[in-house]
Amino acid sequence: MTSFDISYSKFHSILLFMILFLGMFSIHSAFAASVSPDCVMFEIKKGCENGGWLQILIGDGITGAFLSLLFHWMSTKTQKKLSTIIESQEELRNKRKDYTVMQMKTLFNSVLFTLGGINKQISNFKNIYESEKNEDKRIWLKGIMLSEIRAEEGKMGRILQSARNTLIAASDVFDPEITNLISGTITYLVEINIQEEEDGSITLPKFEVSKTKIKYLDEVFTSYSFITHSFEEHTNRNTSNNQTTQILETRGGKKYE
Amino acid sequence: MSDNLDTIVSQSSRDYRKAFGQFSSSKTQRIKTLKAIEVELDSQEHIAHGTHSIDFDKGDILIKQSGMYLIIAAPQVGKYRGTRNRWIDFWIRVNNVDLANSNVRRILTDSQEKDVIPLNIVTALNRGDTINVMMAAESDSEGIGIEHIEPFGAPSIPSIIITIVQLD
Repeated sequence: MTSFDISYSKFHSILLFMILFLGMFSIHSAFAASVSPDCVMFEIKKGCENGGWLQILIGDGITGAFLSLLFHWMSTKTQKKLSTIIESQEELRNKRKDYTVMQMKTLFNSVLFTLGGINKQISNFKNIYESEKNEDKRIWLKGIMLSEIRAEEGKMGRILQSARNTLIAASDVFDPEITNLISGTITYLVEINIQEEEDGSITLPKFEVSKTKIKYLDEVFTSYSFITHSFEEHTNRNTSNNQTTQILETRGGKKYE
Repeated sequence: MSDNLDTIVSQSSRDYRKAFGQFSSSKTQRIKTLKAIEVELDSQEHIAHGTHSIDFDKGDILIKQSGMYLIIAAPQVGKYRGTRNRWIDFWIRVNNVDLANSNVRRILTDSQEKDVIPLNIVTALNRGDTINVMMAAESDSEGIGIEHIEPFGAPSIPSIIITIVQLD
């Protein structure tokens, strides 16, 4: 609860008390207007009506003060309870955010590791397959390799599904931009499959781009502060991409510069 | 002297505030399947000593800065066989998901017919998003696709030119 909310609530208590006080005062003043000439305004004796001021001071003033204190105490107590609930909710939200960032980082590292493994397997397979002259053994090798790669792809699919579930569960704690960023990467990676070429070789298309995309995400997760529970300004991340540029520039065909 | 050197260095490593990029392909790409295929790129244009703010790897264009983007693609279409009317479509795919309302179509009749189909779209993209220009044709046996042409005494005609500009 902000200080503005608390002062606003206090203002309401004071206003309520003022209305009560002024209302009672006006009524008793009207009564006191008809007091007998022998009675002084604040006099308490037989045959004298109590004046409005006195009635206010003795009766309504004390009652009003008691009630206002009671109301104030009750409202303060409620405010404290509300503050505690809000704080605990915020803490829970931050914990979920922290956990999601850690979990996402782990999951995407696993994806990167699995992708690298597949890529390495394909490259090893290529060497063995090309050096093998026996056609039957080549077919057997390819069958074994494909089943191993399919298993790795299945594993990657499960990791990505887990990442998507985690993202959905935490979609209310992340900015839409971060959610879209992660979701876009997952959508892209889900479609990555090995390809069998006409010459019998196996390739993993888009491996480099997938790696780059995961690296971008890793930069975002690394920029997360567990103290402030927020990501760095996006503009900072946008400009720190020279390294990735170089990675792609070495591969991306000719450039007219 | 030192100041001049600093100025030269700072000018040579210029960073642009908004991302942009122009890509093209010098490869003729004909459709040999009825499935949608990615258009491949092989060059990125000159950016006056700055850092490329958009990258590419074959058919994948990689966005490095989140924002609203204008994408313009101009494929040079043609076919080399057949005289029947055949359509060819081009559209944009972001992160392996087709972008709604981004498709354009051209009907080709014979091999003499050459045309450029403009494809333009404005969309929000995030850092790390991948864009592909996709194409599909009615026939896989008539050499329908995008053509790189080398005219005599004039600059070569790329099979596709793609311009991407960050709007905001």
